[in-house]
Amino acid sequence: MQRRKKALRWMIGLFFAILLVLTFLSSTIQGLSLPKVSVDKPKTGGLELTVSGEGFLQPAYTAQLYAKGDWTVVKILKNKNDRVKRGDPLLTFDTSSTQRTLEDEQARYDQQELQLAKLADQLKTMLWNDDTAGIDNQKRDIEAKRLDLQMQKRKIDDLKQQIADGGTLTSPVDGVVTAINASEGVAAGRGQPVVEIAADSSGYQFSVVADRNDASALRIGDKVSIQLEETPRRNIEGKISAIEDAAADARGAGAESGAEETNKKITFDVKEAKLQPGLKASVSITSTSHSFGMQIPKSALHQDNSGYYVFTVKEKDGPLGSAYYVSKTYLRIQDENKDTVVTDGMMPNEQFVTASSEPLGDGDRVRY
Amino acid sequence: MRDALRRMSTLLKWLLLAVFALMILFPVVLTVSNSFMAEQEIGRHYDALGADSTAARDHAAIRLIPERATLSQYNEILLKRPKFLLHFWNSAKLTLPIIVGQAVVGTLAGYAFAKLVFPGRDKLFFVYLLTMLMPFQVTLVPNYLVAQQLGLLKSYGAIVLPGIFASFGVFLMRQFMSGIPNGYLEAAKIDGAGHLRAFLHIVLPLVKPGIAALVLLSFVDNWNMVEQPLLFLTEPIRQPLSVYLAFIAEGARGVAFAASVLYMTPMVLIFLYGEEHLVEGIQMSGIKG
Repeated sequence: MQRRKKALRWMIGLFFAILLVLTFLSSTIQGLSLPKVSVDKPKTGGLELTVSGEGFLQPAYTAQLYAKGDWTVVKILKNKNDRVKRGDPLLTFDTSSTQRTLEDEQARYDQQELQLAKLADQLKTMLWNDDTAGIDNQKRDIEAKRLDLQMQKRKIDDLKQQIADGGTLTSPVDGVVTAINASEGVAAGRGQPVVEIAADSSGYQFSVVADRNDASALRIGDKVSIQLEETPRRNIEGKISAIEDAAADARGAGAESGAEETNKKITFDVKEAKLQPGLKASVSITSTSHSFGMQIPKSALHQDNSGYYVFTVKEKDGPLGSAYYVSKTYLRIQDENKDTVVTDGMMPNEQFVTASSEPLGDGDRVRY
Repeated sequence: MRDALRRMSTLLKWLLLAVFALMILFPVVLTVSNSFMAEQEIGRHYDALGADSTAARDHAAIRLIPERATLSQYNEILLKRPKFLLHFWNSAKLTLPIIVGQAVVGTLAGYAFAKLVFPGRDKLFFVYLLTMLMPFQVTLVPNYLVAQQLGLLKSYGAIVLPGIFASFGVFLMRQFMSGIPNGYLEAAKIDGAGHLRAFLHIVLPLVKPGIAALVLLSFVDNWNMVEQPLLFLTEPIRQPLSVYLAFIAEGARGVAFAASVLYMTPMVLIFLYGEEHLVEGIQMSGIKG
């Protein structure tokens, strides 16, 4: 009997002790089974829009130099990317074919001179014979021949000029050789420029493609800082010269997602003397959107049939200390960039869930 | 022949008692065994009773042996729902002060009614008896009004104070103390002991079994109370387990059995502990608490 009582005493004590321990640990135990979330408070303000990208400098204007005759290239004096001054010789041609033409024309001139002398002699004979009708006729013939002679003379002068000028191709502008379409010993093709020179005075430009939303705050004529990948790196000032839809070339036929999604191609102008075509240039422009509200990262944003929402955390005082619950808060999105949206529909001091260890549902209890 | 008859009647009595015992014990056994079933299994067996009318049966299937015994109910109730524990301690917070208070008040008042001689003693005791015999519901309204006047509504005091001064404790203790021969007290008086000394050193040790019985009966009575907390405590979170148990079954049948087992465990343990005193107490008072 006494042993039974002792055992019962122990059991009663144990029962209450266990329940007491469990009560003491209840919050801890329950906390461990709750989904863990990380939270953040939304930043207020306009959205920060960043356009960044890089491109290669292209000359805004390229001088294209053609050979003046069907000549063979003798010597190429400059290489691609060489910096040239106005008047610098670029390459020399073998002008012998034109030389021959010149000699032919010279001979033809001489022939015509002889013919003119002949006509003058005939005129003298006619004056002697007083052949009035023939004299007038002869005088016209002589005048015509003289004009022919003048034409021939000009032709010869032209050819001489051509040989003198064209034998050596010179640069018409200060700039950089961007292309040489010739090789020594081969005839320069007609119809395509032999040498192309990027003119310094025209400046350079490059383009980047940016998200439509990010580019929304940019305006043509905005001054921007452009970084050049030279050693050492340096920044120069540039200007936005064009903002166009980039959908057509960037996506081609695959642009089915609607006109709203189109990207923008932004072109920057750079003007400075010591630039090279093909130089890598990068740009990063940060602007602030015109919309004003709470900034929510897109990773925290969810969507269902009723729209976009975030989970906000609310604290409720429970019997065993305060407990945290999440609830869906629907938002109206005003503006967005790549990773953030600007919304209203939230209190500024409300906390939203940025990450969770388990999928959440409306009204779930969480810990953080 | 007479022997055989007597043996026969004994056997019959045994059988009859066994049947009654089985009838009384069955719900307890069922509760304990079902507390080891998983929620799904309970759902399958009792769905016909619940809102889910898709079940093919129109009656509950009573099973004593779980298909797969599990502690999931206990896990749920002890680890995942600290609310249960909270309500358990609410019950303890209500019951313990009442028991202690009743023991103190009961012994002192019982001594007065049993051993002191003053005018109108028996009439006063009769009034006490009357309040005890009246059903609880009759005194409910006056209780409520008094609690309101005292500003005790919504607090445990509204339940604990009437509990402490319940007439049952006084009545039980008086019965026990009447059994103590007056000669003991007279002898003490001759030796120079006052009432306090006599009470502490003679009466109290003698009525120990009575106090044990009072504690047991009072514990059972107050651990099981439902009406008072429902009436006086409006906040659900402050309700004792006895009230919470009714609601636990509503949402989650799966844990109702385990909750019931845990609910009755302290009662069973304490009953077993003070069994002999309880029987004595019931005999003495002639009523069941």
